Amino acid sequence: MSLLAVENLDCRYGLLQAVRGVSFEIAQGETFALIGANGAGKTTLLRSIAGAHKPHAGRVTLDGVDITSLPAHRRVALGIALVPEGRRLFPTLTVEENLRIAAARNSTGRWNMKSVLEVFPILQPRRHMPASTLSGGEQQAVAIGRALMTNPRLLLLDEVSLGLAPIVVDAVYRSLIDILQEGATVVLVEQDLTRALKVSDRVTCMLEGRIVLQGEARSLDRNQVVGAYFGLRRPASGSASA
Amino acid sequence: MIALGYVLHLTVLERSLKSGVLTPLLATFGLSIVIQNLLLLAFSPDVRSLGGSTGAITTASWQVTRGLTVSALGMVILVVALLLFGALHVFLSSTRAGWAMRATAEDADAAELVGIDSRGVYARATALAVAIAALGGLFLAIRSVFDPISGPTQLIFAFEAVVIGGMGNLWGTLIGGIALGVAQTLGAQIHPQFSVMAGHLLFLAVLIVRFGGGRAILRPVR
Repeated sequence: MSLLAVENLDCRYGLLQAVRGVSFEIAQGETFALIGANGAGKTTLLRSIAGAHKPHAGRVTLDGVDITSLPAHRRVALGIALVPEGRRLFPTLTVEENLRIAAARNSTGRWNMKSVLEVFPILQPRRHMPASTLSGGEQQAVAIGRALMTNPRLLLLDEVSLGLAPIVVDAVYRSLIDILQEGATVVLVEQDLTRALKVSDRVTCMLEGRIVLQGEARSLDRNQVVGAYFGLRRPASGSASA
Repeated sequence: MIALGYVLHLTVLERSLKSGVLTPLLATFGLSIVIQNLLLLAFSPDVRSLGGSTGAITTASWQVTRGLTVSALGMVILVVALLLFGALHVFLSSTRAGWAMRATAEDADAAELVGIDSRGVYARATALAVAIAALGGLFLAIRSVFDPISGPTQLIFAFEAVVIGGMGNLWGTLIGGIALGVAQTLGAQIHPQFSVMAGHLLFLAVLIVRFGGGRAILRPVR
């Protein structure tokens, strides 16, 4: 059975419809990449899965249980963690406080302060500094570490490379690949097509709130993805779902 | 009072927060007018005090030098304030609930995403605030006199103490409160009617220095 299922999800901001009738399923252990231009609805979709945005219509289920009406903090307890766009750390809290605040109560999971600092050793000397004094790459590491501290079953990553120097993005992704190889279930929003195709099992391309292309990362042709990304031409019927 | 604060948040503040940060300000201001008038109806505008029923502590004092005496009640209030600030400091900096409160204050949306029930945190913060304000009110009632409409004056003093100490700065608020009190006492030495004015002048001076110094006043008009 799939871990997460999204059924006919509609999300709106007032009159603006950001996500239109999106459905997909994610299996345990899968890495699922969401790509698309700015304003395609990727962030809204992730926020709806995490519970930070209330959908207008449709259903989100985890393990077959309907969680559409649960607030975000209850979904964290069920195992959904979002690394939000722009990192959104607590600026005056120290790195350690930022991490410990997210720690699951009485959790015996894979992730704790020690294991997170092992994956992101650059944070070790920064532990007692306020999060606002860190560089962009370090802040992104804290944001990912903070999500891991909740010991998620489903990790949602929203543009972790946004605003970071390429060399820092490489470092962040090296740590991420370690996490992915341990069998984590991940939904990844990424602007960098090459990177998205490289790390993920399955790729979904969104355009104006709809899914325009979906398929195995290995089987997708780059030109096909680029076409769907910009909406230049309709993708071939075999791999498309509108 | 703790329960009252909790209920206040869930019934009034939470709804008003949805329309921005200024709406709770207006809502509580309106609520204060309602409460003042209900108190006027129920208890008349007579001035009262708890000083008479608290015994010797109200008037006790220690003579330090010939010209200087320290009142016992003043010391009790200072010690309680210090203990309270210390307890708040420890709560906010070293407990999980304290971190949750600071995190929610900084970014309620992100706090939800790490599993914090921001609604509950807001309600608990309001409960704490109402309880502490009630303690302050109790000491005011012992030390001085009060009537149904003494609230607004205290509100201005509290606001000035917070601004002088720096918004969001815990110990700064204590220092701001003491600075305000010293200014008012010194002002009263000049003329009894100058007491409150001296506090306001200190507040204005702090505002001017903090937001642009002398240039703020002397900036050429275009």
